[in-house]
Amino acid sequence: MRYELKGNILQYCNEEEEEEALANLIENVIFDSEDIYTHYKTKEKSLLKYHKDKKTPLPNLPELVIYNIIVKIPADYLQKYRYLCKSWHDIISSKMFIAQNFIHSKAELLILVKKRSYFKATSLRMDEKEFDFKLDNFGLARMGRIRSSCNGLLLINDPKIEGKLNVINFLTKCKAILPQCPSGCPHKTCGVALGFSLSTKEYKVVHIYADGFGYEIFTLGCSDNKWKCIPGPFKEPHERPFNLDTFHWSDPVSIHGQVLHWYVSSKEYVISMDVNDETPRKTYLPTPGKKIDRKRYSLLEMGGYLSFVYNVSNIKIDVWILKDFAAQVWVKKHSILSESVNYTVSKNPSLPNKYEHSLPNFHKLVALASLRNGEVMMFKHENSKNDGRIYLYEIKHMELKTFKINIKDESKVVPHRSSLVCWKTESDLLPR
Amino acid sequence: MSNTSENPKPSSSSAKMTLKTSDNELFEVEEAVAMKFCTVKQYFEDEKDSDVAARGSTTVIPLPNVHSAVLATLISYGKKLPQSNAVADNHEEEETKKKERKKYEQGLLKNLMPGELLDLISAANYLDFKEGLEFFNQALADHIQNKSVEYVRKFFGIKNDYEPHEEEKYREEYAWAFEGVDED
Repeated sequence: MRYELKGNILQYCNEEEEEEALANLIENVIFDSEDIYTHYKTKEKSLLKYHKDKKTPLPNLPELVIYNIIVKIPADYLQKYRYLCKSWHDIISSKMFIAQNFIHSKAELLILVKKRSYFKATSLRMDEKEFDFKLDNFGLARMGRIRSSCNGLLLINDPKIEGKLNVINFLTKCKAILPQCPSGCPHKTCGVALGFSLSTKEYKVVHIYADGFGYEIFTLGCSDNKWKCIPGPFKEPHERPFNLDTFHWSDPVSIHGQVLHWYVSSKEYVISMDVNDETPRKTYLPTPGKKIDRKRYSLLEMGGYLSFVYNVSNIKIDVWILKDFAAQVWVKKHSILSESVNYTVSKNPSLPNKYEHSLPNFHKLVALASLRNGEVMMFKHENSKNDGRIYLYEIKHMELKTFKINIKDESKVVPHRSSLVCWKTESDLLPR
Repeated sequence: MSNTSENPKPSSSSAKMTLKTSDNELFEVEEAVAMKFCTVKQYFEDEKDSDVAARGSTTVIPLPNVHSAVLATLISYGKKLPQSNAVADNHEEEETKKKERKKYEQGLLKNLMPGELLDLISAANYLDFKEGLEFFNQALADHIQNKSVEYVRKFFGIKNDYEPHEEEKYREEYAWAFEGVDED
C-alpha cells in the first residue's frame, strides 16, 4: 500500500465551511512527520509509540477510530467522558480535538431577558427538519449581561461588580477576569466584543465607549495584563455621523470573531474592524438607488457574512450580504415581499385570534439574528405591544411563521456555539 | 448471504471487481462503487501499474480484515451514494434522490445493533471509505452521546485506569454533566 500525504488537517474534514471554522480555532500546529494523519496504519504506529512513551494502557480500539466517533458528540455531552479513562482524557483535552469538535457544534441563539439586577438567558435551537425550535435554559440562574460569543467563550458583564468584564466558558467552567478599562467605562452603554485573531491565535476583547478616547483592546493571557489604546475611527467632531448627545455605541456584529461591525447611525457606512489588524475603517453600505433611512436597517451575521437588512417599505425588506469585506462588494441575497410570503402562525393558545391571518407591517420588523447558517432569519416587531412575538423567515421557501417566546422589547440576542475550550491560567489561551 | 451484486441495468462502464472477505466469500462489485473504498482503489492502481494484462474482474482483491456481512452492508451503502461519474441531475431529481437516501439511511440504522456499528466503522476505516465512515461515525456518536460512562466503557471494552478517589473527585466537579443521562 502506498501512503499518501493528505495535508495537515484530518482527512475527513473536507467541506469548505468546516475548513474555515477549523482554521479559526486550530493551533499553529506543525505536525511532526510521525504525527501526520495519513493512512490508518501509520497513525496507529505513532499512537502505539505515544502510549509506550506515556506508559498509558492502550484502549481496545485504535485511538483514531475512537477519536473520529467522539469528535462528533456535542460538547455538552462530551464533558462526562473526560474521565472515562486516561486516554480519553488526553484526547478530549487536546487542542486539535477541541477545534475539530467545535466544527460539529450546533448553532444556538442566546436570548437575554433582564430581571431587575441580573439577566436570565434562554437558548434557542432550530430543529433540523421542521420549521420549529427548542428552548432551553442557559447558564446560571442569575447572570450578568452577555455581550459577545466567540469559539464557545462568552464575554459577560460581572453581575455584581460594575465595570468588570469576564470571559467564561460555561461548559468547562473556566473563567478569565479582565482588568478595568483605562477609560473607566461602567460597561452599560458601550460597544464590546470578543474576537479571535487568526494570525496571532490570540483572543482579543475590543471595546469602545467614547470614541474620542479611542478603542481599548485587551489580549487574553497577555503578560502585562493591560488594555491597549488605539485611536478611534473619527478624528474631528464633525466627522461623526451621529448626534453626540443621544448616541451610544452598541455591541458590534461579530463575523466568527474575525471582523467586527458597529452601527453608527449613518446612512452611508458602518465602522468595521478586522481583529487581526486592529484597524478601524468605514464599510460603505450598498446603495440601492434610493437614499438609505438610517433608522430602518439592521446588521447581523448571516452564513459567515455581514448582512444589511433594510426595511424598504411596509411590504418589502431587502437582504444584502457583504460577500467581499476587503473589496467592499455587496450582493443582494433576497427580497422579502409581502405578496410572496407564505405566512403561518404557530399553534400557540396564548396568541389571540386576531393575529391569525394578518401579516405584520414590514416597516416594523427588526431583524435580530440568523439561523441555520443564514437560511432562516429572526425578526421582532418594533411595537412593544407585541412583546414576546418573534417571526422566523425561511428564505428558500419564503415561509414566515410567528411564535410567542419570552423576549422583551429590549432583549438582546447573541449567536453562540458551545465548545470545550478550557484553561487553567489565562496564558493557556495563548498559542504555544 | 449474497455473493454477487445484482446489476440488471447495463451501464456504460460496467467494469467489475471481485473482493474476497476474511471468511472467503467473493463479492462482485461495480468499479465505481469499489473505488469509494480508497484502500481498494490504491491496491487496484498498484496492480494496474505492475501487471499490464490484469484488469477488472480478473483481479481478486483480498480483504482479510473484513467479514462478508460487514462488507455487504458497506457495499450496499456505497451504491446509494451519488456516483462521481453520474450525469448531473436537475434540482428536483436531486431533491428526490436525497429524500430516498435519507429514508434508506434511517431504515439501515433501525436494523443495526450498536455492536454492528462498531464493526462497520472498523471495516470502513480499514477500507478508507470516507463517506461510510462519516455516516457510521455520526450514527454511533448519536447513539452513545447520552449514555452513561459505564455503558460506554463496556461498549468499547475500555478499562477504567483511574483510581477510585480520582474518579470521585471528577464526578463531583462535573456532577451537573452526569445528570439527565439515558438508562443503559
